[in-house]
Amino acid sequence: MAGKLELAEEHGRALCFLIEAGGTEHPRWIQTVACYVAIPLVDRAIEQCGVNCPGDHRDRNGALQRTNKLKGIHDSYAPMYRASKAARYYPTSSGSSEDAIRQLVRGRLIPLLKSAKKHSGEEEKRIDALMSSIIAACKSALES
Amino acid sequence: MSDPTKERSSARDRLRGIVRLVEGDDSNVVVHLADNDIAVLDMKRTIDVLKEHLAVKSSHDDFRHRLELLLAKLAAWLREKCPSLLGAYIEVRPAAAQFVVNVDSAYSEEFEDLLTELERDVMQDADVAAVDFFETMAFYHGDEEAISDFIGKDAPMVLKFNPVQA
Repeated sequence: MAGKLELAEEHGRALCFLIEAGGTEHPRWIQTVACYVAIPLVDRAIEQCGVNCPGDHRDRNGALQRTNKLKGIHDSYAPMYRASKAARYYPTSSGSSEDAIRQLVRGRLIPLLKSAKKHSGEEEKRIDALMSSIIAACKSALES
Repeated sequence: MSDPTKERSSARDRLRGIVRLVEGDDSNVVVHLADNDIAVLDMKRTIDVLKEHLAVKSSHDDFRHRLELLLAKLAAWLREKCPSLLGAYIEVRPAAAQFVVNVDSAYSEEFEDLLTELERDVMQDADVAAVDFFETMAFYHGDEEAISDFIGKDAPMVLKFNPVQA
């Protein structure tokens, strides 16, 4: 089974693909996959604060809400979680891919990755590489 | 002699739907049933049902006190932070509540930040901790019918805020 960082990298590659290859067509998938890039890194950060690994969204959100050390991560993650939920369960959710890229990927996921670096120990470089690839994909999509 | 199990089941069935909670009204709540009928329940009965659905172990009075504080906090938050409110609901599930707000504005990062802050505020406030789990959701120019589908599918009860206008 892949580790949490490997999962984040795998989801990150899927996100870059969506943004670069078909970004204009798939705003809801961008919202959803962006959240799933964040989840393994959020779980790592929670564990590194001495809290048990979350078993589901409720545990994860509860841990973020209750742990002041994770405020930075919660500030970025909560809007992504809400957007992902609306994308999946609210059929009339609107917004363009450009909105999703600006508001959620650049506006929330990148700051979350920066916060996650603080909890990454020796794997800081891998999070930097993940962040760089996502930033490059966003730049390419927004400038095209 | 009546069967208490059937009575409980019947009460649950009747309470499926939207409860319109009128802020400041301590006597009755209006329940909008699935068949468009309307029932009026006293607050004590409503609190009992909520307590059961939320799987709360504390006493009736303690839970009622916490729930009232939570509702008051959310109502105050709506008044202060949400001038363009179209609708606000609390979806009640076992041990959990989801606060859903529909606003008459475009997507706002600032508003999202306020919701995130509210989540922390509620969950870290020992006095209002009426539920084990609390999350928020915002809709911008949301369609009320679609929101009802979003929040009401399996929820045993949904509270709708109906703030008294000053």
